[in-house]
Amino acid sequence: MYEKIVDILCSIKEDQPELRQSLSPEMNLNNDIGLDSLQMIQFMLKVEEQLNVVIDYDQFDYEHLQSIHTFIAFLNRCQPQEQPLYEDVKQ
Amino acid sequence: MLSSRAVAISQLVMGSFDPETRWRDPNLARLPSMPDPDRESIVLCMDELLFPFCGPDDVLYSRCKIDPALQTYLNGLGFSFRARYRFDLNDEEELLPEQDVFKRCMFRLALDQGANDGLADRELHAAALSPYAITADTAAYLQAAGRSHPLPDLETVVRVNSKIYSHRLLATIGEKRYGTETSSASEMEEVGTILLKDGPYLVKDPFGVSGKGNLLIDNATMQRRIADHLRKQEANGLRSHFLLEPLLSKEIDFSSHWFIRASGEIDFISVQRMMNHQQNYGGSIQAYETLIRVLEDAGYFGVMESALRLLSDDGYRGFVCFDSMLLKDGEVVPIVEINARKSMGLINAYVDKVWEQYDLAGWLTFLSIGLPEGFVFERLLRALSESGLLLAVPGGYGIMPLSSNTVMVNELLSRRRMAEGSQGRRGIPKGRLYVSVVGRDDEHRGELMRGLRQLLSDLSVRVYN
Repeated sequence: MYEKIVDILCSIKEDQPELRQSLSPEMNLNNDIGLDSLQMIQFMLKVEEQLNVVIDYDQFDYEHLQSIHTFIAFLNRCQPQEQPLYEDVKQ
Repeated sequence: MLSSRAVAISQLVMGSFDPETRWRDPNLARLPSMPDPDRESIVLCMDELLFPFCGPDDVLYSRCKIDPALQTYLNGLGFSFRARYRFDLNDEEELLPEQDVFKRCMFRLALDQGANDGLADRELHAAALSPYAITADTAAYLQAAGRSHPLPDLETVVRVNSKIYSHRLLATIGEKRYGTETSSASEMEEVGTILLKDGPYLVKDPFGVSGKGNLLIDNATMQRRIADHLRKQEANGLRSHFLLEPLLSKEIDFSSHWFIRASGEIDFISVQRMMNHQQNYGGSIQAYETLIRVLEDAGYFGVMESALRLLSDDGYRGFVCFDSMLLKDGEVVPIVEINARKSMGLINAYVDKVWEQYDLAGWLTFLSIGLPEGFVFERLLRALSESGLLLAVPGGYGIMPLSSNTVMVNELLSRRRMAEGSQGRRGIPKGRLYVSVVGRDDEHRGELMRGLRQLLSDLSVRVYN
């Protein structure tokens, strides 16, 4: 899951090729990486799509971005999407 | 809170930089978004950027007190204005405003403050109002002042600022349209599925702004997720109304700036090139002659005239900015959206009015930053000066900071809230450093910006963009 999140972050921050090397599980998604509001929502949507979860935007709190670890823990508590994203994915 | 020179004020410049939020119909469904309180505070403090519209006898009425060192510096460069403000976040004697009070439209704040401020306000009420944008509170403010200003009514302003209006206007003047209006989640999915066959597309909120209210959809899964999000809101009684546009192969973003006088006459102001990144505003610079010639050959200015005539016929008066695009294949998209208000490109054009006499032009841009503990704005000015990066004399080269509270607001709020005990952890307060970069050419401007980034790094300031 961590690698997937790193891939998504790097695709969102495509203008910062050095980002991948600097990322670590302890990094704060808000303060250390500094996604702007548009990048943040694109990131969340990509996470939903690629990790097959549903994020409740009305309930989301920036506390979940304290570190990539914290964010993964939050994602693990999210409900899975009802439909598999790909036909060969088993729920 | 107003300097006591006994000179009549000729113009009062003020406004809120998030009018779209205030114009938006609350019964419309929203695209998913992440609430970012840091961003909100910064945007509320962008009204400081309106100083280029002021002359020496004009008042800039801002939400927060401009850092005195910045005002002195700007005055020294030929940007003279008198400052008035609602909040001084540095004044520990003054209670911190509640968040819902701090967020109020500037006209409402001015109205509230005016109730306790007799003499200065009579002076202000006699001045012509130059708003950033007209909101519901503008009319209330004017009514309280007992003056009639030649400003368009709110209904007109809201109507012409909607992306739906600009989309329909293109049809009226016989121009090509790229967008498709959709009025439900199902319709959005239906139209989106067709668009996806040719590539990614944008979903645009009628009142979406840079970085908020526009979403890029590049696959069916994401589309389904957005549609579900909208359906949930429709089930709660909200209406979906969006514009869907294919992601065009863009070469250049630019904007043209105009003024519609009370008489209906139209003044051309400027064409500005926009340095956008993805769907986010990244800066403005006066367009080169080569771009102007391309636009003339493409009949761009004729389209603008037709559009402005319609805006005028529809009752709009004041500043207008058309966001436009030049595509990679040479095609010009004349109207991406209409901003019937002041705008960032216009601010740059007005800063350039001061540089014009020296045959110079500035690049207005910003850096998103995170501040270290104990940071003060004056430290930045001093470091810029010591490094030789600061634009120090009129007609010189260098970097001119344009606003203080967009940099400091979250640092000041978190420092004060921690002292009060209403906030536990400091985090890294975010800010935006708006600057005008005056250089010989693109290369020199790039060099100055690299210097600025290095200087910020030396000051332990994080740069996010």
